[in-house]
Amino acid sequence: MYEFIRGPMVSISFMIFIIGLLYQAFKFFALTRKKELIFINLPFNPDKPPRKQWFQRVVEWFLSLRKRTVWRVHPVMTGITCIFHISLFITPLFLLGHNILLDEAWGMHFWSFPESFSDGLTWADLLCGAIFLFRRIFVRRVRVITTLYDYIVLLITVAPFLTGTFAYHQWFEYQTVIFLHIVAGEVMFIATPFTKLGHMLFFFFYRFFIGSEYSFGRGTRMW
Amino acid sequence: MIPKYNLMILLIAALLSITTTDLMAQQDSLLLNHPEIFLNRQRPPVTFPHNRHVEGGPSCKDCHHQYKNGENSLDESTLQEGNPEIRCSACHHSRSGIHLREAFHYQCLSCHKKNEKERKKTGPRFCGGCHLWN
Repeated sequence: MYEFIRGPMVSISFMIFIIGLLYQAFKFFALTRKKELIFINLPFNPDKPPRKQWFQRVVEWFLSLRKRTVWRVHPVMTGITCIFHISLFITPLFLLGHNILLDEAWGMHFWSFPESFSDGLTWADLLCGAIFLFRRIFVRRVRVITTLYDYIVLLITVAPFLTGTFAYHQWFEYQTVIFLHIVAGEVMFIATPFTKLGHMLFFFFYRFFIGSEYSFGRGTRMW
Repeated sequence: MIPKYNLMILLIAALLSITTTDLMAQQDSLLLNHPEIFLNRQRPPVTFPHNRHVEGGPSCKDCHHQYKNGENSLDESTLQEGNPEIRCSACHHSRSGIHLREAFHYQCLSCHKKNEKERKKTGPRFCGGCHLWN
């Protein structure tokens, strides 16, 4: 079983990840239809079409971000979330150890960060994860909407980084830690399409295809 | 009085045994340390147990090689201890096609992986198995 987890299971979990996300994307487009939407909260005056150059509109849009985005309302939490998500993506992708294994397996690899930098990113990720955990436990308005499921999803996300740090620093018994690290990564890959970690994909759908006040695009799809 | 001495003798014997085993270990394992090639080292150098490999299965030319027309044409009589030409770094260095780091990784990992697949006794496959922080 040990060899299976370290060998074929890595590919299998990656396949489940890709096919699962494709399935979710297919389901999303099958369930939604294009519809004309009416935004009653937008100023709409058919007599005076705004005569503005495109760049004026872009500048205005950027300036308006200052007032109406979540950056403005919750800057600290948004900052923490951004650091968490950025490090979540770039750390494993540009990790020297991963790239050496990739190179050995496929003969190709990404470029790598210095290991001390990757270590720093991992610690940042763990710190953000800890803040999320404490927030769920101690902030009342978050606690009331928290269930066991949320803790499990947080654990699934943080576990590869926790075990990765232990493996890098060679704390505890190395063979056990590296095995747990691989298992944790595989669990995250498998869980992503079928849990709320699917927001990795649905974030873009919500922001670009569904009409809402948070939409970046026109948002014409609806159920 | 006597138990005290016994303890001291035991302690000295224990210390001596540590030093001798350490010295013996030095002989059959090589520290793969190349500061002139690995300028920005990120992990500690590997102590390679050469003797364990000699005893453990692979023949000399499974690792030591000199390829000509796709064949390993290395003369096995050159594989003498102390000959600098037989070390990996004689050909693989920072300006060679395969950098010394890749040469080590390919050579070690490919064999360890193959042995694992064939369910034979094998060596480490992940970073911390060889690069030990001390």
